[in-house]
Amino acid sequence: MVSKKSSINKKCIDYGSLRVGAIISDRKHVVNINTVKSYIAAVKDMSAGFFLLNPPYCIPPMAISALSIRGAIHDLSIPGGTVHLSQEITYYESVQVDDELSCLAYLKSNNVRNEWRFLNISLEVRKSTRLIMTGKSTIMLPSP
Amino acid sequence: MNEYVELKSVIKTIDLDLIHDYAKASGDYNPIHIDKEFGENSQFKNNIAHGMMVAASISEFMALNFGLDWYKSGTMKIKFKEPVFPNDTIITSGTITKTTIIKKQEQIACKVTVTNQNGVIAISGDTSIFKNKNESGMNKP
Repeated sequence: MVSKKSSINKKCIDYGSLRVGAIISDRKHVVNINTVKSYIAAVKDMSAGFFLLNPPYCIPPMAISALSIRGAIHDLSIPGGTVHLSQEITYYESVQVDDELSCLAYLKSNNVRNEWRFLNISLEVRKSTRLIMTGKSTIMLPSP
Repeated sequence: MNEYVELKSVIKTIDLDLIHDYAKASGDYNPIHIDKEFGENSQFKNNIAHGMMVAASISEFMALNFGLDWYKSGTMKIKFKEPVFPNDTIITSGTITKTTIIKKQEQIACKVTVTNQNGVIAISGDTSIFKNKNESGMNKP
């Protein structure tokens, strides 16, 4: 996978200072065939190979979701022990190998309950200007 | 398609090697997934599979039952209820709950669950697709 344009990449993030609406990741990726094959092997997706190797040669949609979440995970430098609570995803178009994708993640909410911080992150993936996927991830971080 | 139809299930075993493979493929190296000691000291007392790795079985399930319509128009709203541990066997199953015609296209809604070998629900949620969707973006906001 070729990645271009990283956004915030702080080593030590004060999660309490993150404001709703803040862009936490803005990256471009070109997903190559080897990356897709590694993903399919790791999730043991028995149907994905067919769609990848036959017209219209589509990438498994969850690989796109994983890619968009990857940007948020990296650019937020999330701490060990963070737990994924819920996920919403909508796909609008299929994606092919070597398509260039823009993955944007921004903060929807930021709350602390008990010992945990809850971040709600909105995800958008575009191919050129066309919307490919939207999503919403809720993660729970150990709160300092 | 008829409502309340049980769809074809997906069954697989998730071992530690696969979790490490997923960490590499996804770039998610959270130690709760891959560090033995960290896992043992966590609230789960073990390493756990990545949520999105387990959720990938729902994507496979939807593609198995609805083909490319899932790729082009799928929606998923899921909750991670319980962790999946190394060597758990997960069963992803679901039922069609509703079919609706929206702008002359058939939308099929499903209830899906991922359970482990003991019947514990790891993920539950709702999915949908538009049948025979073209690339015009039927469900675009």
